[in-house]
Amino acid sequence: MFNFPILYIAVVQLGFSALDIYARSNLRGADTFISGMSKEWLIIWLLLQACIAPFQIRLIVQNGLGKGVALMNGFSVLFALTGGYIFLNEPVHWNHIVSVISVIVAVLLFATTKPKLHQVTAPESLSSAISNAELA
Amino acid sequence: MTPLFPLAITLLAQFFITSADAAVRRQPQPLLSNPFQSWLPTYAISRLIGLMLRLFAVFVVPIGGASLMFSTSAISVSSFVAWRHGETLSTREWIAIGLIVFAVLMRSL
Repeated sequence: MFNFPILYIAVVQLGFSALDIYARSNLRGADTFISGMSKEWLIIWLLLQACIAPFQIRLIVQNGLGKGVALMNGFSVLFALTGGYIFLNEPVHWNHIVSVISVIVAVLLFATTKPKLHQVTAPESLSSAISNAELA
Repeated sequence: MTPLFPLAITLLAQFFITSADAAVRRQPQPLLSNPFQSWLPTYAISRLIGLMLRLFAVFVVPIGGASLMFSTSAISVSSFVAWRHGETLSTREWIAIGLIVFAVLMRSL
């Protein structure tokens, strides 16, 4: 049933969301943008961004821009709402519930759709290579 | 500061981030096994500029508004670029993308 690496995308987005929160918490309260950026946290943040970049590249290459980015943002909504509810005791409103249901339905739709073969995965030289081998 | 300024910064940031993603999307499949090729500087510089602009938007916009702008711009710009690059999505997948945009908007109500 599930032909889509949902867990992989969720974990990559978890890392990206965590880095977003890390940046926001460090920028909060700074007088100017430049003074907020002139700290050690920026080096750590950039190094961590570089660490998760290969996983993001793999995600985009395997799932495509449209699907991959949409799912990442869907998980971002889920993490923000569930994190706010569990860790910050934020109240749950009706629109949050609708939002979570929409993301779950969207993920199920993606998960149950058969992936199409992308042109990049089909090398042009394959047919000629086979015919050359057959001739030999 | 006009309300259009944060939106412009967010869209500009998204332009650079999506440019980086689109650059690697065009590469052949065994991309990560050959990481030191010509795509790497383009990807790194474009993504760095995009992330820095994104940080600036985080600084100037309240968190709720920033999340809404980042998510909607990321999904719409990426879907448009994917479509322009010939990425084929089924009707179910377009509905799923629409549902995620709807979820982002509902969350921000």
